[in-house]
Amino acid sequence: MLKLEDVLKTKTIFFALALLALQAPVLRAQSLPGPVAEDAEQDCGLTISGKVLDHDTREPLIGATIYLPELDRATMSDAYGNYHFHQICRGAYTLQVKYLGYEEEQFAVRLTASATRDLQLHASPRQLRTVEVTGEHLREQAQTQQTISGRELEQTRGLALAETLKGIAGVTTLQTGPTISKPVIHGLHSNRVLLLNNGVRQEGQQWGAEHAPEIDPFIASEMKVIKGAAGVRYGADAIGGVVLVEPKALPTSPGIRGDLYLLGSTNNRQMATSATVEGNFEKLPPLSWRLQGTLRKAGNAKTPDYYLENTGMREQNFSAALGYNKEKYGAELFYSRFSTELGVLLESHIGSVQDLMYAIERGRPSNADNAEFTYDIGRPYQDVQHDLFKAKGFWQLGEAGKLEFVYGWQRNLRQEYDMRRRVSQAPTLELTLNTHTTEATFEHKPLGNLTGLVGISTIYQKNTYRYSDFLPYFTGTTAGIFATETWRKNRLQLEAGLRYDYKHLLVKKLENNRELIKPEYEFSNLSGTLAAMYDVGYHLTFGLIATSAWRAPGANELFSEGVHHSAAAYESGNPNLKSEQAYNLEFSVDYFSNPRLNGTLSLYHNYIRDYIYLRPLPDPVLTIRGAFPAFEYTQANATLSGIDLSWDYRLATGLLLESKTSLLYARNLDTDDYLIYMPANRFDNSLRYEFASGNGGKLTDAYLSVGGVYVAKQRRTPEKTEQDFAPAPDGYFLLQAEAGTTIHLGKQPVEVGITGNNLLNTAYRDYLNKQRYYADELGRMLLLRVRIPFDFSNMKK
Amino acid sequence: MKKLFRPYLTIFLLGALFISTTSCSDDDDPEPIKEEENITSMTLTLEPVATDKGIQTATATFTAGSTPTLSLVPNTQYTATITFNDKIEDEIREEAVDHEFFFNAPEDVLVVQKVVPDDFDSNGRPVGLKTRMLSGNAGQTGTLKVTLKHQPGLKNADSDVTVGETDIEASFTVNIQ
Repeated sequence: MLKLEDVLKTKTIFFALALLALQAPVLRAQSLPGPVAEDAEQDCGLTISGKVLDHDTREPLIGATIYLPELDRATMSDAYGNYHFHQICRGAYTLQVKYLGYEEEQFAVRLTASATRDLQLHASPRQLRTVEVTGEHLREQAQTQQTISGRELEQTRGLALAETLKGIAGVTTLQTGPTISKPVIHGLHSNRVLLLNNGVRQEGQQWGAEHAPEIDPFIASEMKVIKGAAGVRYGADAIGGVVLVEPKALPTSPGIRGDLYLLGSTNNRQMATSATVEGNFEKLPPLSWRLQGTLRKAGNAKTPDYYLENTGMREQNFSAALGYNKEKYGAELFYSRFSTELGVLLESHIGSVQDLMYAIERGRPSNADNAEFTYDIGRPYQDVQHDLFKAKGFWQLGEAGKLEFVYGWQRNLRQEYDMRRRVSQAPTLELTLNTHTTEATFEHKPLGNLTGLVGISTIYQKNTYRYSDFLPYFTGTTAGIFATETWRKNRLQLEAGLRYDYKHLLVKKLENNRELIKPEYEFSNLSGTLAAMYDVGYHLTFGLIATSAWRAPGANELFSEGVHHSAAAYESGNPNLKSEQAYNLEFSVDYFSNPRLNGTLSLYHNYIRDYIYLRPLPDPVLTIRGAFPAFEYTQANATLSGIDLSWDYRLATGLLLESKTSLLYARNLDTDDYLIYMPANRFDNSLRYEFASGNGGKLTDAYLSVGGVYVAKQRRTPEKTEQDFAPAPDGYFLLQAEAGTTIHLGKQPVEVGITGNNLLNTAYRDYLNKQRYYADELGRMLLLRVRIPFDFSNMKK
Repeated sequence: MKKLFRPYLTIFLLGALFISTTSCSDDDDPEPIKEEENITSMTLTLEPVATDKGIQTATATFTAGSTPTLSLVPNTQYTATITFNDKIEDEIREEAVDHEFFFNAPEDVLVVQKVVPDDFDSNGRPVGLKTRMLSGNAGQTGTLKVTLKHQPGLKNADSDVTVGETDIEASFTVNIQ
């Protein structure tokens, strides 16, 4: 039997050892330099390297000083902005970066393996911001992720959310005319792509192809796309990928500052403005706040030859955030409202398949010659309101780790107004979806080489309708538990994750508008991830990832019933659907932070068991308006494989060639046929010239870019069944150009930019636009953008 | 370590999870939808113009999926009137500027003339609720297709059957005996 004394003794020894282990990096550091061959376990042969960049322009900063106070070592970035520290032991370090004309910044690095960190500095005039380590090339996970932030994001201001993401290889959009677009990742969209709005899973009526995400892109300071199944961390449904819309962290230094955007465009004569004001209290430093609002308005869009009637839109959004953040704990409240009115092309409101055939034959809207510009929106249109309330708290549990809790409430109100004979104020369809989400996560402190996260999450949602019963009442309850762990040693990183989700669905449906039925469903399943990432050195990383994710059938797939007018089809749900299960394999190569050539190549293969899709039925449904082709939700095994390649090459100082290629090949294995409505091959190339900015000049950060996107004709369309009313449209090439600069009016910088789309005024149609049967896409459009950052804290000084 | 896991924090977290998953009651059921407009059938009535020859009035009612038969006397002029189960014809009259019926039949079976008094909208365009029909020779058979188009803001001299939204597409078999 052990005596108490012994126990205590062992404990003390343990504690001392633990202390020693913590001290190890520092101790080792003092005995450096010199390779430590016999002591491999201590991992003192690590390297931290990367680039020092301007946060906004992404220009490398040459000759920046990087200081490691823990080791008292310093280095300077070379002619390409690269820096290196070699022979470093595992541990926590700080990188202090200094560069003339930029804010001095500190980056915390927890080193368990050789790592690459791009250090982004902010120019001095806009100082005093907290800095997060972000960067396209910073790879923390084996799965391909791409981020749009900084100047890249600024250049997309004024576009809808999905359009913003189009700049990423493998991401396209599914459109319904000029006003409605939603992101497609590797050929999957709607219910299969998860959107995280400020950390809360966006729950609208996302099943609908003509239901655009209800998120104001101006909220974001960063948009991240995870391509491929990511069910473990973000929950079931994320078969296709995840889009994370992240606002900037709340300010931590006193003063009031903000941004004002003014936008205008030709073509649909869009006018938009967005303003952000944020601040922090000098007397109460942990308390900070932000207010943000956006107004957007556009009229009828124009193809090269005619105006598209009733394609205007209006949008009014605002958000408010309040945070109280201390080192050990913090809380944040966030509220946002998104409301929009979206006109739907008048021509696309058809009554029968015959009408659709007439429209296809005509080749242009029947009223094309008389259509005029107007900001007015008439029927048919959509009126959508989305409210989000979020409460978040975190607790730093000393050495144990970090506990975080997020609660979100969302209300999505969707009203659709179709053409009516009797002029009534009521919509044709009204859906109200209330969702409560909770998530609690615990990030444990590194245990040896292991870092990780465990969490639980719940979703409760309830849908009701008025005026139309296309979608039934339903109540869904989902609960999930998950854990992800990452093990790093030397150049190797291994990741594993597991998640279990349970979903209960109660549907209330009036059969034949009379008899109430209440079917109940239970779904449960596991999601998993296994991944490896190997850092070869020389700025080259390989990643291999296998994930599985699943998705329970949605209420629309189980129970929708009726004519889907915009699709000219009679759709029936299938109450016997099972969950679909995806197995995703991805191999990727990253070559980054190099002076000339950089790029990412990703090969993926997604196998979906019981993929839910609309299968054409042999007999049409006869209605008073004529015969409609009938479709039923059914399941089959499917594969979606493809290649995403993005690379850039610096031809000369300031001159950069950027290229993106997305290829996709999607098959239905059961019918041995292609899957319908899959994005065609896409190639996006551009040449960018960045003018050398003279210090103290009136103009800085000037750039000019010319490029084009080529979208091939989709030849991989179903061959065995007649599923489409018209063949896929021809391929097209669009010429684009962009220019921008920062004008310094005294101390006040003003960023201006102009983007030109479809400069050759090409008439074209896109396969993934639901309105390609009726009309051409938009003609030439110039978008002018002004951003005025302001800082009242500076003015006082 | 123990100090870090404060009990109230745990209670708060679990409580919030609990509240947010159970707070919503679930006792409301959907109400039946009141259909704003429910066209289920369209009746075509053909009255002979000459009432003295003892020719019978022909009537046929179209419902989804059916092709009812109209039996007509050869070489006869009829006045055709369209009516609905739901009295839609009154609304069509009210919104006549946005509506028009289109008729399609082989000429040797039936000739349809749309320009009939009392059947014009306020712009002087025909509506088609009332038409003049001329039957062909005995023994002819063919299909008459009647399409009601809703042409909001689109109805003019050029707007044919291909323009606008179809409200009804009805078919009748015409037998001339």
